[in-house]
Amino acid sequence: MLWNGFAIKRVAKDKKVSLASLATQIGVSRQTVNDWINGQIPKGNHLLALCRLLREKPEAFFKENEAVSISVPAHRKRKSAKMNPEMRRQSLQMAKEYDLLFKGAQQSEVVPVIRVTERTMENAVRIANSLRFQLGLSADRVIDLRHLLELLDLLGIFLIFRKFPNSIKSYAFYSKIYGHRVVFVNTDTNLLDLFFPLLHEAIHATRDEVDNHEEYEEEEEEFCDNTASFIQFPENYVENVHDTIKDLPIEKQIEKLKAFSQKYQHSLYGLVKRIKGQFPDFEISEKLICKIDTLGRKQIPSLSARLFSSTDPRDFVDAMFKASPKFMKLVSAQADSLTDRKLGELLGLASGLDAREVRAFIEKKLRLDKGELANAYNM
Amino acid sequence: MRTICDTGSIMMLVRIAPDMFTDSRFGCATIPEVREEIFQTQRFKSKYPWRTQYKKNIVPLSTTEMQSAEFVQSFDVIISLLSAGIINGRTSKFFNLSHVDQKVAAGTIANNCRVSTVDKELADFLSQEFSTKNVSPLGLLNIWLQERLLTWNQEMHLFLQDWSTCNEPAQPKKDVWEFEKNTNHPYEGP
Repeated sequence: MLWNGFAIKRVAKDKKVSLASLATQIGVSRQTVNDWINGQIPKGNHLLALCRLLREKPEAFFKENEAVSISVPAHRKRKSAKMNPEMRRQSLQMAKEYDLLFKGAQQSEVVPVIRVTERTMENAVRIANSLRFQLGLSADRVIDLRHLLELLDLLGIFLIFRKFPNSIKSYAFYSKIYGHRVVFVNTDTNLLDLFFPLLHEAIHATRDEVDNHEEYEEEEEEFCDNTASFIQFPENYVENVHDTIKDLPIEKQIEKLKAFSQKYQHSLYGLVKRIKGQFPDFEISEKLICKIDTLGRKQIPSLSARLFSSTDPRDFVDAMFKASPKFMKLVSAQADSLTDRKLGELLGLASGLDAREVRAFIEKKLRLDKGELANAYNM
Repeated sequence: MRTICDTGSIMMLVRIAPDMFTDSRFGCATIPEVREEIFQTQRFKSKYPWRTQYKKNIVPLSTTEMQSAEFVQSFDVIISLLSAGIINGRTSKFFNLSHVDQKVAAGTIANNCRVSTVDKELADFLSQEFSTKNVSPLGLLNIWLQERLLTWNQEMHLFLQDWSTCNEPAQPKKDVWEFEKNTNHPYEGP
């Protein structure tokens, strides 16, 4: 919201209260009231007095920010869950909790933008290969968690880990907050399910030239799907898996697929979809694959179990700096203006951690990093 | 004058003065969300293992008080101010308060109280925007000692020594000096 001082004049006139009398009754000078009218936000106790005196809600003296500062475009839903207004409202609500943090981020930086002339499969492959190349991934290697997090950092994405309320039936969603690319990730997400949605949202975020305040068109969704899929499963890997299983009986195929899934921690559904795309003659029951994925999830931990299971604040801070360095740097830079509770809220702290202790370790880490930097430059 | 006590302050004081919320002479109050935080934060289970013994002692403001016109208006003012982006004069950054912080602040303003919080940013906000005084837990203890609501004893002294074990924040020097004057005991807390 923005302060709208001119409303004082209008409301006072409506209520037949002169500005001089208003100033006297609030206990400020006439000049102070003029300053408010001209754009200075009153102190809290004066605003409260103003509301009481003019019998108005505070909103009467503010206006909505015309420029959209936070956008939460309609995002990919989980399985068969339908996107609904409540889900959207909750996502926006979550993004709004970060409003002031990003508003206060005085960061100018160079970030890459994915620009394509046509949203074709060939271009999706080209973009995927280019990004994989920047990560130094060989053509037959599946992307792992470390490279995934590195990619998000490279694309200028702030990664925020939160436990989503039940109404947000999504693994991840993208939001643009004061021009910053932010991807929210549900910490309950199983690692098997994490890669694809995260890559998908990352591609959305990096398609900066697409108007995405409301909903993406189907073609854009499909392009992001394809690019994400090619980043996760490069053609050589898909070919390798296909060659390994193609002539085997179904039981052996399943066994081999399970082994690939376990080794590289990815779901089979996405992989099989890619194999079918690359080798149209290949056949396997999707229902069966979904069943195997369900069983696989039981053996692979959720994101919170993998990254944030420790109740030691030191471990939490270390894990966060590794998983989301951009976001942690931003939080650290503003830590002195956040209350302990707000810090806990922004970091999505589980009740097993005390925000005050986490703050102490963030400060300690910053001091250490500064010290290391100073030593490196002999300062 | 009444004091709205925040979580940190309560955890430091409730063992020393278990009647701080039930005996009106102490003049303390808190909000239901703070009480909930005390008993629902898992981390507090190990940090303050004794906390459940004081369940009956921590009595928050009633629903009626939390829904009074003054409370609602104060809360609305706080939300509006924060969403417009108010700069903290000390840090030169936007004040960024959580929902519960906003409620603590609203409870303080609506009841025309002072606040006792160990959270610097919340104290800054209340002081800068509403000229509300923050009194440290040790400062509050000094007031009670001066008003003879407490007589200092060994058990209380042990509780106070525990503040250091629990990594509670350092108390203002003037309050430390006053405490030693009030009790004739050396201050052995943070």
